[in-house]
Amino acid sequence: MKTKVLILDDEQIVGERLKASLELAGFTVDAFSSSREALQKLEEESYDILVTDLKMSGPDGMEVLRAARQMRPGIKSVVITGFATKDTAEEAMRSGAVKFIAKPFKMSDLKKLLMTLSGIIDNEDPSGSNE
Amino acid sequence: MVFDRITRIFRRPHAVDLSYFKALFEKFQQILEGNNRVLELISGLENKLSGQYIFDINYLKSVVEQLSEEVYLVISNLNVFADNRYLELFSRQAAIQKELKDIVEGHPVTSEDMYVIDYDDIHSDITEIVGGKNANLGEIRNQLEMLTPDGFVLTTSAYRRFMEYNNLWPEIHRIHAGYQGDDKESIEGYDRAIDDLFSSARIPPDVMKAVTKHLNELHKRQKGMFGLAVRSSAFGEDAQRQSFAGQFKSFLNCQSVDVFSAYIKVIASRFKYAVGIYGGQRIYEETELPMAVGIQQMIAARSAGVMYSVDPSGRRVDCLAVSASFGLGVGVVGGTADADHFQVSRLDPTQITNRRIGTKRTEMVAAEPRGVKSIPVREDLQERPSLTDDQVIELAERALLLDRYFNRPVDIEWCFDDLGKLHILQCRPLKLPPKPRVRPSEMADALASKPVIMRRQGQVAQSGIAAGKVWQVNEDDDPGAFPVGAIAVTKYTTPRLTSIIRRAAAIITDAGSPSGHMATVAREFGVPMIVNTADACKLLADGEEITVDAEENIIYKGILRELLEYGVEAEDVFRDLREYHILRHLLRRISPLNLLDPNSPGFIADNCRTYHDIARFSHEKAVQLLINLNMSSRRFRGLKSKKLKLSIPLGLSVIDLGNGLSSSADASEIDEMDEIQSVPMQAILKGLTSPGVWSTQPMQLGFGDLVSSLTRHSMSDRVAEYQGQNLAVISGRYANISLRLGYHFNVIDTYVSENVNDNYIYFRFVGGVTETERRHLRAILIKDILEKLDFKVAVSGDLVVARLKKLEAARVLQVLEEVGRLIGFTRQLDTQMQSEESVQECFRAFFRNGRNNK
Repeated sequence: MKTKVLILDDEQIVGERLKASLELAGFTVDAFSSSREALQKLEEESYDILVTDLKMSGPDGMEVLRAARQMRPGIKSVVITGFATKDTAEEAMRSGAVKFIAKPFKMSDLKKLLMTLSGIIDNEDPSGSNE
Repeated sequence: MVFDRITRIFRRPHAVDLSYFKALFEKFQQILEGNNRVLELISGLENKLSGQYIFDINYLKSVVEQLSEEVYLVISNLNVFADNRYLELFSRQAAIQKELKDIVEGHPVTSEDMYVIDYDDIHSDITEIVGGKNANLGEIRNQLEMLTPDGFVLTTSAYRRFMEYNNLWPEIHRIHAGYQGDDKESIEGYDRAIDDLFSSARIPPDVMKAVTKHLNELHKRQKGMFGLAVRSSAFGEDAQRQSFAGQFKSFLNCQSVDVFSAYIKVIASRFKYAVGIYGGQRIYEETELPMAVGIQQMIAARSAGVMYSVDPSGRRVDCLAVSASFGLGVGVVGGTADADHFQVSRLDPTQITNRRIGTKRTEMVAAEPRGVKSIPVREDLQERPSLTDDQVIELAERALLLDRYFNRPVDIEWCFDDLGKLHILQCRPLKLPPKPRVRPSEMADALASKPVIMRRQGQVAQSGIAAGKVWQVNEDDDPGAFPVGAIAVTKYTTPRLTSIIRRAAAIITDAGSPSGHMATVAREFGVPMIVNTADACKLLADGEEITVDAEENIIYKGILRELLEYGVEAEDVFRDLREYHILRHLLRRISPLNLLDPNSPGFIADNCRTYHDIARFSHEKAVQLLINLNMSSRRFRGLKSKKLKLSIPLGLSVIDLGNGLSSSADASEIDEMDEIQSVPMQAILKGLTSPGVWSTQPMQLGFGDLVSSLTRHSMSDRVAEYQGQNLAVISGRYANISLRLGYHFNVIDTYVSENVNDNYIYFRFVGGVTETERRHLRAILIKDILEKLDFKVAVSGDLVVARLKKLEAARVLQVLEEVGRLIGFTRQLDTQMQSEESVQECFRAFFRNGRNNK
């Protein structure tokens, strides 16, 4: 069974590219740039992982996290954001995120993380990054 | 405040005041630290260009701000340190900062209403204006300085103006809506309607004026009649997983008067039915695929064709493929003509691994007065190869350079002209079938059994995978001799080796740091690089085949095809995001290094064109100034110094700039060696006071004839005359020692820290009591010894100047200990150098004594 991932980033092109890249890594991916549409889809279908940006118009990332937790209690949520502060990270974790990633991040790190979350690989190896 | 105070102090340079030196030295350290922060910020930005990162505009804004601030600080500190000698750096910095701000805020550097740009002015950062293929041609022409056709580009702004002027979009949408069927009739009807629409379109007068001006100029440059090629280059056509190869029209051998009608036909081809099938709904969106068009001088081709930097058949990732025929190569590109096919090793482009010579019955040539025609190939030539082996190799080397430069496999159109010169006509990314980017676990298992030469030694400066033959490089080697596709193994990272970077498949160095200048250039060219491995030069033999995994930092013996195959797969899904264009654009003003050689007359502040230039210039000047400042020991006369009591009669006084002495050393004399806390000073003293080094007895040289000549003239009894002039200015990490021993004068200036980029040793030696020839021989001996210790040495008469840079602290301290021994050793050599043989004898004796002392 392929792991199902829902991506939400208000920059459509970023979502599309994340989708393309994650699909190459073997995930099944749906990408949205509107949080309303994403939440609607989440209501209809079950996903294993949610990857969301924080700053968006409409329901923002925090609201999406909380709604996702309520609708799909088993979902694992990951936040990716360019506005990373300790406070937002803490709030995101309280709202149900299991991981908080600040931009810029390495695509391979995101892939590794999602593989860890979906049980494809056992442990996340932070030393894999070259930075 | 501090700034003012220091400036005041500096304006009284003759005032003797320890705080003056301390303040200056602090400035020096701040310059080094600032320089390092600048280099780290630059390398962080460059890493983001690898196509593996997700980032946004806020990130770029904040890094650019930090960078501008740091560069400004470095310049301020340098000017305090150098008595305002480099004020012009401020205006250089301000100009660059302004440009960066414009780029990051989205003000295009090239004006939006610029309809025409010459190829001479095109770089990849204006891809949005000239389209991907034209941007690549600009890079190839202006950065790589290869031959490309002369000419100019009608920009995407010209395209927008054309579409608006003729009000074409509403009509196109109408036509599109009207023909929805996919039967032959509908398709033909649709295409005809598009043709009709465009045939009535006119070139806007302002665009026409600009084009006419550039056509006239091109005409002048070409000195007379010439044919023109009109070629499409849409922005975004190479994006994602589509290439639109062959979808848009091009016209060969047009006359000037045909340019406008050809232009309109090229634009029309963007809307054809087949393009819609290929590109989908996207082609009907007004912002998508804006079309730039190149107007190029035709090259009279003797032979021409295409090549792929990776053989796309997928069976041999270690090979590239060349297809060629006589004439203009139109058929080869289109795949219709019978052509010659060559396969060449990527690991060694001089190896043609396979060839298939086709029967070439016809060739395409320019027709009179316009267009192209097919003519028969002379019968005796039909079965002959259209390229010589040398030409195939030249092409293969070129393909590898371009692959390296664009950091991905490429598809290249080329031709050889009547004189046998190679021209690049087009270059675009080669689409290979996508493969998973995360390493499959099977690969890890397969690799586990492969022989490893080096594992996790040093740091990765640019990640990637490469394989090839080792080629050891010295700084003074001719860069042109470096074989394209070989793996460069070298002791140091130095900007002087920059010119081999373009030719190398990978670079491995003994010393250096990932934020050093050479690493920056490697990232610029996407060449995998591992630095600071300590002993790559020892472990990797010249000519040995290796595979470099600069992702996991492992070097394998032999060529590992499975790893290579994974490596050629460039993940480019993010590279065409807007942020990437902005970043590339920014980096053009930040990271190229133009000031390479500090000894060249062009190494001046006014020539700093990027932040990297400013950082490099400031660093170099700061070190030079510090050395010169402390070389003049008169500056220290009258300063309160402390006598150092040593087991040898050196008569050395010490001035502490901070952390050079332990706090207990507050008397006027330093009794114990361990009161010296200056790390480099400790190392030098350790060498200087090691057993036998300062003996006034004959040395254990082991060659009797020399020994007899030396003892009587020992300088030990004369040293007293010069006492007081032996001075060390030290801090925790720094030491400057000026020694007058006998009749020679010796200066050592050194800085040692955790940051490899800061570390250096400067060694200067001059003078003596004997006649010129002997002094020169001694200089040669010192040169030989220092070179063996990895210094770069210049000798002029009896003057020896040597420099060693960018080694790890531990290694610098080892060398300093040897330098300490050398100081003692040379002191005893003043009179004994008689012949070339004595140089060699003494050289051996120095290193023999060194071993005995260990």
